[in-house]
Amino acid sequence: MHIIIVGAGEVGRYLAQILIEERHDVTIVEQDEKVARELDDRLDAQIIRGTGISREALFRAGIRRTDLLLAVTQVDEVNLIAAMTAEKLANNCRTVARVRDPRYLYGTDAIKANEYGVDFLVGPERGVADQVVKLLEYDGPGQISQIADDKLTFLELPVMPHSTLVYATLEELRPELPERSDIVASLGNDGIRLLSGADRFQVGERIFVLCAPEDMKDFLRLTGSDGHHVEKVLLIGGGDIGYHVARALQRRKFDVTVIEKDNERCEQIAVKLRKSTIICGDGTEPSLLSDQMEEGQDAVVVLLEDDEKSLLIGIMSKHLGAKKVVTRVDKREYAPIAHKLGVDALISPRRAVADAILRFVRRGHIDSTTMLGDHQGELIDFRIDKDSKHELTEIPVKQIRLPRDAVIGAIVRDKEILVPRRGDETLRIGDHVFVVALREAVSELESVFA
Amino acid sequence: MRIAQILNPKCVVLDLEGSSKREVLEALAQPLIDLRPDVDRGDLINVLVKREEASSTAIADGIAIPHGKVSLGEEVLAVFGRNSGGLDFGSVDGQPTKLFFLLVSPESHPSLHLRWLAHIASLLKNPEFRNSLLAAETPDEVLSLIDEEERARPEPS
Repeated sequence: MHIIIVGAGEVGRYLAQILIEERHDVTIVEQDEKVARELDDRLDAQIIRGTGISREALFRAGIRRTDLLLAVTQVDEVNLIAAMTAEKLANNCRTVARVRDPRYLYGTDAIKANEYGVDFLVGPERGVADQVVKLLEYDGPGQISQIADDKLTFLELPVMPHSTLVYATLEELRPELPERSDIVASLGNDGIRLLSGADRFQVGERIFVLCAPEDMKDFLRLTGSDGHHVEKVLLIGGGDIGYHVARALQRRKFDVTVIEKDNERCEQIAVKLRKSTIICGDGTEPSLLSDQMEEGQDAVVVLLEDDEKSLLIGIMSKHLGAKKVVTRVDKREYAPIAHKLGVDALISPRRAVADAILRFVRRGHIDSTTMLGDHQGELIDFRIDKDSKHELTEIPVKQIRLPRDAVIGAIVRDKEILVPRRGDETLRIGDHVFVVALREAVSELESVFA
Repeated sequence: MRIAQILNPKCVVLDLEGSSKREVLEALAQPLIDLRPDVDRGDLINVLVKREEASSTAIADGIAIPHGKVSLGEEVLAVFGRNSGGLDFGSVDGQPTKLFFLLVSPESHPSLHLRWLAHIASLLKNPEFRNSLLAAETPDEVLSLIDEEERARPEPS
């Protein structure tokens, strides 16, 4: 596929890297000369210097023959115009525009994608806010996400000292874990590892778990990962995400405090968040943070735009005794060190945009995909339908020839969750198969399930 | 879940000795075998030694939780062992091991094993509790310290 990416910021670069690896023909349109030159050296893509709203730049980028245009600059209006222009100039091109301002996405001024001739508008800031709320409601450590319409829970758990995970091997754990749960992979210094029976885990590693939501509590207890219940939450940063998190949390009876630097913004949100405490101050000020920790905050959510500051405040909160720390960090390269220093979960609006776009690009038999670690692996949801290869529904899953670095983690059949530990189950039409795969195995995997 | 249900005061060894892993395991298993003649000594030691060979159950902080399943009716049994100076038990962090919890479960009731293992491991998280165990003078004191620690934490629902 020929793909034009407009804007080579964090989102654009990340998308380019993955799409190039998946052997797409990628052209990037970037305004900043220095960035453009740097990319030219690093990526196997054509780089066009120019803006996405320039017809001339789009022509040079090959808009006539392109299949897909992804407009992902920092500026909403540029993205919208680029996508609309592409729609007019191209012969047969799908378009995606990234939109950050919530006013374009929700409420009376919301833009409808089809009115503008754009195929997909993506602005997952609200989605990220929902994710933070889920992380705080969840009693375990690490990261949680609900997938397959909330029928399946996906956990990324840190292996902690004094948990069953270090005292028992996978072989000992497996028969005793809830039937509808399994540890599917682990993430350590050497990257992602798919597991075999003899594996054991080390403190500091993180494990990936698929389980039925009803079995999660039992799973956490049996692995010694329970007891991270949160009541008092401190939010640092009262921007759009912070505001939405606070609103959702106060509705759910959490005790919420928001620290926001900007006076005007403080007044704005104070009116709307009557049940929360709003502190006008600098959340990066260590004394303010330690005063708050003495007030008994259970969890700290750091939502600063600056990755390094966010990370530092997150680490410091953990050090001051926070039970749970969620930090906004867009550079995934920081993840290993963040986890090592006690940050439970990282959230990244930019990464969320990119992942949403990847899902759009890949749709077909793949229903969704979740990145593992620093995109060293993926959890992919394949839908089995009447167009799927017949043999898939005729043999037990253990006989399906998967790439070496891929395993079937769970099957969602209507409301039922099956964990095929022995692989005796046979797939049926309508099933969703959740496969865990290392990055290298993804394209081969697509041909197995296509 | 209370450790008193599985730990008989006769199974508290305050001066555990042994110059090899096997000897330590034998010394730990002895009170349990004395108490329960139906447990096959050879089987038990074998299971425990094999498990330790696969990977040490001494992880860090001077604690080891050797464990295994044998044919044993329906009960779970534990032995507490201590050597205040510390023994070489091949721990992952290279430090001597001072506190030992031996956990033996029946093969016939698999789900019990992990529940007890999780319970014991989680109690031992607390460094003050570990220090109090190191200072305890009698088996009864060990049991009452454990009881106190269990009461101090919320009962899992």
